[in-house]
Amino acid sequence: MTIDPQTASEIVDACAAVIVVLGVGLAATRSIGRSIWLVAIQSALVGVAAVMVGLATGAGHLLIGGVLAIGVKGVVVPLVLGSILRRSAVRRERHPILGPRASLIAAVAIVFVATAAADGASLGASVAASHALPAAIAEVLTGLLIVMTRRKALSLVVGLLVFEDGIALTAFSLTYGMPLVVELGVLFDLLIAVVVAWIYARRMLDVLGSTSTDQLRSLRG
Amino acid sequence: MSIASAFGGAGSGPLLVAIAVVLALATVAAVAPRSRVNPASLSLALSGLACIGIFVLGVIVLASGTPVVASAGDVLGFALIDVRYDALAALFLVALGVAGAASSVYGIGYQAHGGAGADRSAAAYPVFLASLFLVFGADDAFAFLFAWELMALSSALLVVGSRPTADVARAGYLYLALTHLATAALIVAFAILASAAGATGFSSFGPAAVGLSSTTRDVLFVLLLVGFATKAGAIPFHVWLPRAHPVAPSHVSALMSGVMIKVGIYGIVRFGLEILGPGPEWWGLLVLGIGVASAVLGVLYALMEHDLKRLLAFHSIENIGIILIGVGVAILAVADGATAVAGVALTAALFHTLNHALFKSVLFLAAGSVQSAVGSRDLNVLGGLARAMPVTAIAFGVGAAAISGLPPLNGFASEWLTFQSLIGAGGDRALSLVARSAVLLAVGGLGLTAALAVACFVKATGMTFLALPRSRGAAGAHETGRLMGAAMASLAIACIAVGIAAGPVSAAIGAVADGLVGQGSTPATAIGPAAVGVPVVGIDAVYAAGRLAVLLGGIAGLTWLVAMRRRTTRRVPTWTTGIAPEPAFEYTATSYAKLIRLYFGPILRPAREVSVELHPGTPFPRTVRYRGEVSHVLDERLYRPLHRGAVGAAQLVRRLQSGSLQLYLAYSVAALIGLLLVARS
Amino acid sequence: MIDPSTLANVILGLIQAVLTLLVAPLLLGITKRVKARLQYRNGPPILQPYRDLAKWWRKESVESDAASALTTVAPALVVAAVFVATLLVPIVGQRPPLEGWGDLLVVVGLMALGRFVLAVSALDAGSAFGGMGSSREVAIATFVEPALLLALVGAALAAGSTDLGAIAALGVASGIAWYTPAVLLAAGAFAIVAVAETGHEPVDNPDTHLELTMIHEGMLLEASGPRLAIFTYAAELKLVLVAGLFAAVFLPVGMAQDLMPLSVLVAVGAALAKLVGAAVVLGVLDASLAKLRILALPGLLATASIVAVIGLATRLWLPA
Repeated sequence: MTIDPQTASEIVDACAAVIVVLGVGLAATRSIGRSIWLVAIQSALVGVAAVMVGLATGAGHLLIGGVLAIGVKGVVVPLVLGSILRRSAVRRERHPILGPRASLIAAVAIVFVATAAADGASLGASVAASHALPAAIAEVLTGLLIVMTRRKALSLVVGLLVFEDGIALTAFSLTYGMPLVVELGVLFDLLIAVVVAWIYARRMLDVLGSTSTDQLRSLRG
Repeated sequence: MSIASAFGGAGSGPLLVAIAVVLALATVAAVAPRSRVNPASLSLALSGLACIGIFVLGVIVLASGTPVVASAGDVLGFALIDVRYDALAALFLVALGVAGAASSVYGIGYQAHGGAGADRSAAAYPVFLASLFLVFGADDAFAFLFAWELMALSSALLVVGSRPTADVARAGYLYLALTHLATAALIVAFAILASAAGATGFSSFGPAAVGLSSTTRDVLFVLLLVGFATKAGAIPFHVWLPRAHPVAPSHVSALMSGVMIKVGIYGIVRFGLEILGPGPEWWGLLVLGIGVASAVLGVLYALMEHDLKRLLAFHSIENIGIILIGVGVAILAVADGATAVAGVALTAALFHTLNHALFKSVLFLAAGSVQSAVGSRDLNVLGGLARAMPVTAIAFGVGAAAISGLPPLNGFASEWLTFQSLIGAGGDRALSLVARSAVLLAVGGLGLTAALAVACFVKATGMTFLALPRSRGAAGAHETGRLMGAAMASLAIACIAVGIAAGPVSAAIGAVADGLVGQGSTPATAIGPAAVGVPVVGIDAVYAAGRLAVLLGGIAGLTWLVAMRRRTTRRVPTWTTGIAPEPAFEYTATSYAKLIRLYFGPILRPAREVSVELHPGTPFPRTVRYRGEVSHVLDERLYRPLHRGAVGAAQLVRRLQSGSLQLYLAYSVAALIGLLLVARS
Repeated sequence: MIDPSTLANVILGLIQAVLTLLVAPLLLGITKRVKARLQYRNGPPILQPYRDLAKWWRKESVESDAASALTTVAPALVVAAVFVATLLVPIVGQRPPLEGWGDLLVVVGLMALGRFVLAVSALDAGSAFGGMGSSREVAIATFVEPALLLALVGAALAAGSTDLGAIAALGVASGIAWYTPAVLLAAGAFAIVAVAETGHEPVDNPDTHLELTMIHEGMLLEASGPRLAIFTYAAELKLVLVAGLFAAVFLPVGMAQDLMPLSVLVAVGAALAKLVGAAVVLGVLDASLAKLRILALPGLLATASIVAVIGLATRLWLPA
């Protein structure tokens, strides 16, 4: 079943726009539960975009990759994160390194930077090229921003997920997506990372009583 | 011959696979649960079997003259490991096979006697053997580096064992650090060559190296030399050797000293001589200088040691020096087109490689027997072991005579060839005056080395095996097990046999050197059944090893018969001015070396400290404490400052580490952004 | 039919072997006599060493109970090494008796073999004096061997081979032209080394009975009876070896090239003259010089090395 490339391109553009908005929202929110919801939706949208591109170009592996992304990153991982959240007492990021207003400004700045960067980048012939690339770069940078400015372990994992989404989106907006093997590999990596984070979060809760990474200071020579 | 040619080429593929399979089995066997058969013994036995296969492979390649080529791509569907065993590699395989087989057999006896190696780290031994097997044949940069790393890691694991003490751990750490410096140098060199060649196979490196600029070739040579000389343990890259070799179990030390450091020699010959091709004269002079320095300093420091295994480790440095003298002359001569001299020099170096593998192995194995029988390696507490351990004593004696370069054993044959190559180079007008002068000075250096080696091994043999035992442990020693004795005896017999058969052996090696240096340059030919001949710019000089051995033995035997035939010898205590003789009257290792320590004081910088404690209120001494040590100049002047500098730099960098996860991530992001900017421009 | 030149060589070789074996103790006697006469003494008869050997041979063999089997075997090995080495040096004939069996490097190697076995066996009895002599001997050898090699290499370079027969042939053929500065310097270096190798003043006092000053004697202290006889005989052979080596390389006159009776007689006479001359020189040195302090020995022997190196440099760097 294929779709006309024009339709696919429009749907992808729409997804990209929503992804950008969600990214800004993720940067601004302090509630961890809400950020998990947001990243779930974002990952699902990335998956949908992948499916669209796959249907338009007939690249089978994009279809499979996209469906898997929706399933794993959109459903399973958020569920796991949610279970950790319920066990921990903390629901909000109380003292992030950047306050909500500063994070918002940073997120918007990222969108501008991403658009500027995408203009300069050489684009391959892909159906989703036009608007998905700036969204992708923005998502990558937003993910990094979240990781750098949050203290709670769960927030760090959320940031990682956003970052991964951005990479995936970059991949198939520039080319026809990554080879299936690589996609699967990345997905599994992600799954393992989340499992490890789950274990760590439980351990941190048991030992430190909180999931704040401020307490982790001994990673030094 | 016909069987060999039938095996050569296509037929050796199965042999290769068989060796690999046996070694894999040996690795698995070592970690198998304890059953009726001791897993370590089974593993060692399988390893020994694999070594015999390796030896056979080497002989086949040498005899048939055709290289054995294999590619793991045929088996696995994608080319991962390319191997090519040509004549040069086959020589090293022969050494590996013999030394490995003897060490494995010894190892079975050793750990049955409760020696180290009966734990899980014994699984590293077949891996070590496999990595050595692979590194000599690797035909591709990746395969070579993979084997190299595997070799370093497995030997480090064997050195350190399962439960190391602080000293042992430090030795292993230093070993790993230095070997990785070597790896770094090699990686850079291979990268340069591979980018010039456009491929990573060694066969493409040769033609590519020809086209490089001379500065690039100089840089390449220095990098390769640094990398391989570190592995070989040449001065000034030797600091890991005397720390790592003594603490490993004896059969591992034998293999490390006998074969692993030869990988460095293999590398220099393969890359410096064959792949890079003729270069400027200073290449050869540099190698020659390193060789002479290693030889002289190695044996000097060995003389000052009273730990038997550390002494042997320093001697390995000395012998690597002698081999490098030969290689240096070869590279020097090739630079000036004097292929005759180069052929002799390379033959000498390769012959000495083989010989060293034989006699160093027997010495280490004997030292291990002594250590397990007495419980100590310290020469100052050994003594009188000749009567209790005759097999060990004779094996050690043969090894000592061989390593001191005494005719008619194998060490003398290769040293004779080295001297001939030096003299030949000195007389060859094709070389520059500077080169000829350097070479002739090296004659003096080699002579000094030989004399010092005699001194050192007289000391080692005398202190360990002769006179009265200096401690209770030495007095209560027993001969080691039969397997260990058999391993040592076979190696000692090999030393004698190779010495007597020096003619045919050097002819075979000469053929290999021929191929590497240029046609028509094989001057080392067998003249008659057991003689080595060398035309050095004119008239043949010959060393008839076999005939001399027979004559020497004959005259000695005749004299002994005539003198001792009808005698009964009366045995009385040694006259020690009327007091009952005790071990305190004997010379110790430290006192034996004292005169040489004084003579070479400026180099050795000995320091000593004597403290006397008197009986209270009287002038009579109660205890006298003596502490003497020799400072290792290179350790003090080169490595300690380097170490301090590295630690200082690390402290500086440490300031960047705050422990905060977010900060580290910020560093990564900054780097990423920087990279993006660079990529865009 | 045997090749006549090979036959000549075999017979000349036999003559040399017999001469060597017979004459060796005589040289020691001459040395002692010359030294004594210079010291205004009469000194022992020239044939005394023969009597000493016979006396020791007849005596009982006493061994230390700390000694191993090495003590029994060592003397035979040492004398075999030295004797085979003499057979590789051309003394009577222009070609060595064992022609084609070894060159000067093999001679040096055999000397090292003798030294090794002697030094190790000295440690066997567990006496302090054996250790003393042994450690000094090997320490001095570390300076002797490089000098020896460097001195001989100069001659080898001139002849284009390390084969002693070739060197002697070239020496004979060149006549006076053989004595270039390089060769003279090498001869000087070799002379110093010869004194060290044979254990005479100023390196070692062969007559000393003070154990603390012994080097060679120290290693023989525990030997008795036939073993002492063999060790002493080996030392006497060593003198023949060193003197013969010097003569073959630096004084190649009068050596026989064929079996003509006249040339054989001349050769034997010349050989005797050279050997006796060496013995006399050593005797004169024994009488005139005092033993150097052991710590001063490297100075002397390093001088020999330096002289040899200068000789080599002269050879290389001076035109033609």
